[in-house]
Amino acid sequence: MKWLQRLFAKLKIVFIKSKKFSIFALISIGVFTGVLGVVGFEVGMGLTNTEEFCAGCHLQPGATADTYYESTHYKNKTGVRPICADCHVPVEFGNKMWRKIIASRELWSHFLGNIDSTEKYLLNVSHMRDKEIARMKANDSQECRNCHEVDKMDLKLQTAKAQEFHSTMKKNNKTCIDCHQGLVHLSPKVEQQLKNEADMTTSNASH
Amino acid sequence: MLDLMDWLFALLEPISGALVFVAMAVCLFGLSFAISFLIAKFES
Repeated sequence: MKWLQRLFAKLKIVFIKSKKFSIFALISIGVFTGVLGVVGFEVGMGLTNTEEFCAGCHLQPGATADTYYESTHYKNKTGVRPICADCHVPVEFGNKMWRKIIASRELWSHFLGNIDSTEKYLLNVSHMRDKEIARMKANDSQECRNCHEVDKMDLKLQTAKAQEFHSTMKKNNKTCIDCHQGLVHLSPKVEQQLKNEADMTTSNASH
Repeated sequence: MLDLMDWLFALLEPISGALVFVAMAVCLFGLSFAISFLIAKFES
């Protein structure tokens, strides 16, 4: 425990009053460091929300990011393009930070190489999808509703089926992701098909 | 390890707001401490 006492003795110097620096200098240092910290924090948040950052792990042929590039969220007639973070990272500060903390688990998984090939990716994709769907169900598809508000939809412009679902979703206790799974990424059906194909390729190669 | 992290995050989910607040406070105090330490080193 002596090293701890020595450490505390060393750290004590932070509580000694300054003799060399004026109050103005000390406050200026604090303000500048604070501003630099805020800017650095925002830049860091921004960099971990880019498409390139997400695709670093999630871009596998036929898998998550790949399906995004073929979806209507990537290319559509209106020119509106939500990126990964718009749907998968909450906007509200507290929830966003919690999501980033949880992402430490995903980083660990990345360094273990759990999804570094298409085969491994397909093995884990249902687990990842189920977790994300559960998250979206728990927050009433908040990230969908950031852009698509059911209350503001002109239902008359929708198909009869969509009108029926959207007008009754509150009453039926449904949220966007209950029906719109597979809109951007693999639906469970296509995912199973790909898994079967991968299994067949593996078994053919082993024979 | 991943299962443990899953379990831990699920356990902490209900107090995630408080945890984020505490984490931010610890980071800010840590930053203040680090700057103070550097200034104190300049002084001595």
